[in-house]
Amino acid sequence: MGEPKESRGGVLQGTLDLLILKVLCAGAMHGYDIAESIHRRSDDVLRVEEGALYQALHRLELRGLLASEWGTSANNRRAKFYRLTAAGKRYLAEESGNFARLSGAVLRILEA
Amino acid sequence: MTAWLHSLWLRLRAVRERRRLERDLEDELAFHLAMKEEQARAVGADEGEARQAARRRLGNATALRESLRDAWTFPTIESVWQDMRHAARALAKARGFTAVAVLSLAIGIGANTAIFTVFHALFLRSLPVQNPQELRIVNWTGNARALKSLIRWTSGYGSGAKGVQTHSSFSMEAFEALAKQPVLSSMAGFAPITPNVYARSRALRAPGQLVTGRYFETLGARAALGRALSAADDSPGAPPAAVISWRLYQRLYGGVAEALGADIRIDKQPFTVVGILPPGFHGLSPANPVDLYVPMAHATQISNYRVHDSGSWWMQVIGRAVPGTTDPEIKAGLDVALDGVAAAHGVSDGPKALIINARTGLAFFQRQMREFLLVLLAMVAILLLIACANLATLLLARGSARSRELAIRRALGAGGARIARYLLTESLLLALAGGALGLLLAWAGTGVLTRMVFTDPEDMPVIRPDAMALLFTGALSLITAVLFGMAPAFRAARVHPAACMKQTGADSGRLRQRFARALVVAQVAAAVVLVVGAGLFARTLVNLGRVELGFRPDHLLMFQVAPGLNGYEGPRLADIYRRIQERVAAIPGVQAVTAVQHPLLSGWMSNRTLNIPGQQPKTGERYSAYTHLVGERFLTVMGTPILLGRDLQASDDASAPAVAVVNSTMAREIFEGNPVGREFYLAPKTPIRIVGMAADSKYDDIRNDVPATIYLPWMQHLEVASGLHFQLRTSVEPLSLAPAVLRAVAAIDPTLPVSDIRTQQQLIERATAPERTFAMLGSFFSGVAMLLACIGIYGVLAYAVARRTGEFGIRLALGATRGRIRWLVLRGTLAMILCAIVMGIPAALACVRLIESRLFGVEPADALTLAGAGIAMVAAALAAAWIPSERAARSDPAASLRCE
Repeated sequence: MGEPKESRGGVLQGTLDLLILKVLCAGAMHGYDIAESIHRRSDDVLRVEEGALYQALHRLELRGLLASEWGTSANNRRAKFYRLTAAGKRYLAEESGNFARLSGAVLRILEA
Repeated sequence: MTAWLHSLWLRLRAVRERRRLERDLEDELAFHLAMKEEQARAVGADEGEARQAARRRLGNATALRESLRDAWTFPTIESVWQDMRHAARALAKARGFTAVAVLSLAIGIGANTAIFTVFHALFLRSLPVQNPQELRIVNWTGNARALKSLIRWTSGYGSGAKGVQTHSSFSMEAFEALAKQPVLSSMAGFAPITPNVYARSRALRAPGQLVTGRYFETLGARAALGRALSAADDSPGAPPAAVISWRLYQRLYGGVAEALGADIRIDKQPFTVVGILPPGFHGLSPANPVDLYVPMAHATQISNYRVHDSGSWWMQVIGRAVPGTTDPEIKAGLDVALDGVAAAHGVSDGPKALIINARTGLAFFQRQMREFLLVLLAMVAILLLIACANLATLLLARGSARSRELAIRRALGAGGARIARYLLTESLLLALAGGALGLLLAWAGTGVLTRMVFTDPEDMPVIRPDAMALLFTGALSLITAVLFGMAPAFRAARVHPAACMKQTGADSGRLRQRFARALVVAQVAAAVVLVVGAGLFARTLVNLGRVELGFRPDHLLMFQVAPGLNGYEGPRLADIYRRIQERVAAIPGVQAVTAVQHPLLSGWMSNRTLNIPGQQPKTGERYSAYTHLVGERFLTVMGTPILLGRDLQASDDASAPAVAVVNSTMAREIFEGNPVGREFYLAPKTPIRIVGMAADSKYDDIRNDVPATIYLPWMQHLEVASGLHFQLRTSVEPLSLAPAVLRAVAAIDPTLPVSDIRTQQQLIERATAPERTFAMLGSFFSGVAMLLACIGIYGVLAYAVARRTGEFGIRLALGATRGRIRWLVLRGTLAMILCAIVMGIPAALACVRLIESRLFGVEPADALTLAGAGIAMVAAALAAAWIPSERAARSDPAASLRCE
């Protein structure tokens, strides 16, 4: 598809979880929208592989960080919408702090 | 934690709403694909292109859906469950195979569980007291001859031939010295009694114990109602108190609480019941329950023990170890005490203490019973091995039959481990079904077995499979399944799909055949061991039945009374015996009445030394002979012929001259000729004149040779006749007279209990019960073993013949006769059987050595039995091989020629 370099597997599992949680802060979304949203908001840098995305969504749901319900999409189809739970919000706050520290540290080394 | 619970909850819900989960997964991915397609179309792709691009992006949608589903469910458990369901279906379809496998395992496991349960209950279970592992029984070892001036008389358990002997009993003096040692935190003495008990107008004889004050404290046993005996009860002048078992509480008081504080007469002495022990407490030996405990302070009134005689060693000793002390330390401390006692009597080298762990009580004294159960345990262990080998053979044959199915599964991507797991699941299922059915069999079997072990139903504890037995069965089933399912499973898992897809797969087949044949040989060899054992016991039983008893055992009822315990002595004792004799003689159906001190063949005996004027024994220091105290016309009533002189008569009473009858062995060995008119002495100054000579008659045990025996009239030896067994020759079924006997004795003295009402035949049956059991169970087990071996042979041959049909056809086409083909198959079987017999007979001989002492009139290496077992095995094997050999002989030459 001639994309800019895809970060296949480059998006670490934990990172993907964070991205999903962050994207869902804006409100409930279905899987397709989440993928598109990550793609768009990373200025087309990050393209999430669908398999990994759905596995992450289901894993997060099982961990209780996401909740889901079936609803109707914008084009009037039956779709599964995910939304952040209170536990998910707490987790995002904690882990994004950690992530910032970690990536800051990595950057400092790379730029030194 | 909560997250984990939340996840579990979601997954459980998903499993419950399985169909919804599937649909949701499907819909979610379908929605995603649809959106992708739309997007592709929006940028100008046509319909097909858009769809393809979307699918390519998503990759293997089925795999993704499966991995998502796995996240939501319990994949391992589900696949195991799936295996189980599949295995159950497959087994249900192979009905014959399953029935044989489950039944043979059930018999094997059931028999093992039943015998283990009884063995465990009697010999392995801890006593129901606090910290039973701290209990120690103290015995002593020493040379009885060297210690003769210290220990003149012992009772209780003793063992060991010349040289060092082991004895269980101590004198009061020795006990008191031992109790002063601090190596045991608490110590108690006890001695058995069998008193006459009378309470609430019921008289009975009960097994009891005299116990010192700290007995229950040492044991750590408490009363269920009231209190246990304490040191205060054992002090002189204390009010007479007794503690009774739950069983006696039920029998005497019907289980009502008023028993506490109630009056109970023990050998006519008034006692008060102060406590009732809990239902599970049977004393130190579960095989010999004790019903009554009396403080040692009353020993002189209700026993014959010479309590304060330092030369009488009669009291058994139990103590509780101080935690942390070792048995050698305890022994060292107690040895000091025993040396002190010995030194006080001028003996330099005293008896040495022997410390025995009494966690299980006195079980180690029940040697005979233990031996009996161990022989049975060995039998059923062999049977289980055969059943397991049979299962393995069947599984192998089944594996061969479905090798194509398994190869296809492998080709379709099932891993070897997965196939092995599935096959193991199958054998596990079989073993569990066998185990469950076996447990049912064991439940019934323990009842039968306890009745065999406890010939006296009154002593019989209720033994049923418990948690321990359940554990045993479970473990046995698991081991069986894994051990004997493993080999066939791995064999199947190793099968190469390509090799198997080819028509014949000859190589793996041949390998499997060799393994299966080895299993069958092992099975037949084990069966030979069982058949030989069963044969020897059957011959023993026949021999025992043929023994010349020397008296007529039929239509003989006996019962015991012990008026001496109730205080009757001298003329009063003689009088009550006479009145009982007259009363029971008047019962319709009684032809004749006499009495004896020890019933014939009861295992009891009395041995006395005697002097004969003007004669010295050729060997040994003194003459000795077995004695019977008997009533008038004893030999005539018993049906033993009087060969010379006369029988003892009613006129041979205390006022008449002392007389005796001897048997012909005594006449031959001691008098070397006609003994009538000769005299001998049992005690100085009282010559006893021999008035008759009787034919030989068995004394204490069918197996023993008839000893030199003296028959003495009880009327002239009242001092040792405190109890007698009356013998009633009846014209009707003997036991039908039992109620009349009880009424007759109760009419004379209601406080005098009648005990041991039984027939002579029951006594003989009891004495030969182990042999009967061995012969019966042994025959049954070897029958099952042979049947299983035949099934194994049939299975292996049927498979081999099926594989070689083509070969047989060609042989026939080339001119072999059908008889020759049949012989070809039978020859192979014969070789297998001979190989098994060659292995089985030495194994049988080795095993039989363990039961040698149980055999009677037959050598362990009895040629007839060995040959019989061999012939039986060959015949059974040929019968099993007949059908496959027929099938081989009927192979169609034309068909195999076409095929090749």
